[in-house]
Amino acid sequence: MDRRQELDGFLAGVERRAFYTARLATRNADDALDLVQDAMTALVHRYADRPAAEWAPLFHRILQNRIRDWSRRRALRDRFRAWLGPRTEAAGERNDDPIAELPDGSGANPAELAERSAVGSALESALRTLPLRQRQAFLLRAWEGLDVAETARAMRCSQGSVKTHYSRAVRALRAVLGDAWR
Amino acid sequence: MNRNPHDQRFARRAAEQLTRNADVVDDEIRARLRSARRRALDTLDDRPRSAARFGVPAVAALAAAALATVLLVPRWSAEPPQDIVAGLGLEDLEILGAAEDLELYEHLEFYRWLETSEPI
Repeated sequence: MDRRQELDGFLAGVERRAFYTARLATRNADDALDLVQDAMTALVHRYADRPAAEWAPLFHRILQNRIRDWSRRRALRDRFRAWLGPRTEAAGERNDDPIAELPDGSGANPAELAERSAVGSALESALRTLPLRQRQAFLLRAWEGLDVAETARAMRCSQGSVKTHYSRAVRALRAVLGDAWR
Repeated sequence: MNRNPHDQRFARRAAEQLTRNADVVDDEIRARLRSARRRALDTLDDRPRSAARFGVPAVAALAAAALATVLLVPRWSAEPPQDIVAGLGLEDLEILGAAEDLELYEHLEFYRWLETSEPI
């Protein structure tokens, strides 16, 4: 199997989960796809020659960095909007349609929503209530199966921070989801 | 890290549910993911040659040259102290130049870089 086929197989195996992870953060399918595309391209461009065993932690690290950067840009943009909003209204300028700014329902169409169980939707909603770092720690540890050291590298933080974020995430999720998940 | 069996059971169940959730993607998203993957793979031939392929031999050659300079120049220019000469033998050169060690150094460098690098 040549390197292109190997990479193709690896990316095919992670793309849906990567998309889901990015969409949890962005609440927008287009933004999530952009982040996944960026992460895929960076992995291929920079690390194709690395042993295949290193691709998963590298890919998660890249994706998490992209998500973190996206979140920072979004927070900055929102602050500017909040600051500029009243002034532009006063100047009679047209603001963006507030409806268009709402999340797009996670890119879900009616058929998709119908397929999702109530339990799955509840979990997704609960994950969205978590701070970004707690959500990252939970997804990487519990879902992607990374160990503490790999998660720390992916999140660019200490192993102690990973443990703290993860345990807080589990506690918060269990509290939100209630008895049905105990 | 989390020894609480309830937490562990919860995490397992959540992971299974997340996998089910992630598998539900419509045809359009599936096609766009496939297209994203293809575009990423198309950059495979465009990328600059990696340090792993070309940088390491170059670094190894430079290291060998520097080592030779350090060892040989004093011998040419002046009589070195005997205790230093006695401490440096062919074995040292072999150990320093061993391919396995270079590979180890390469990985050490990689992991050090992972720890310290800017966001990628």
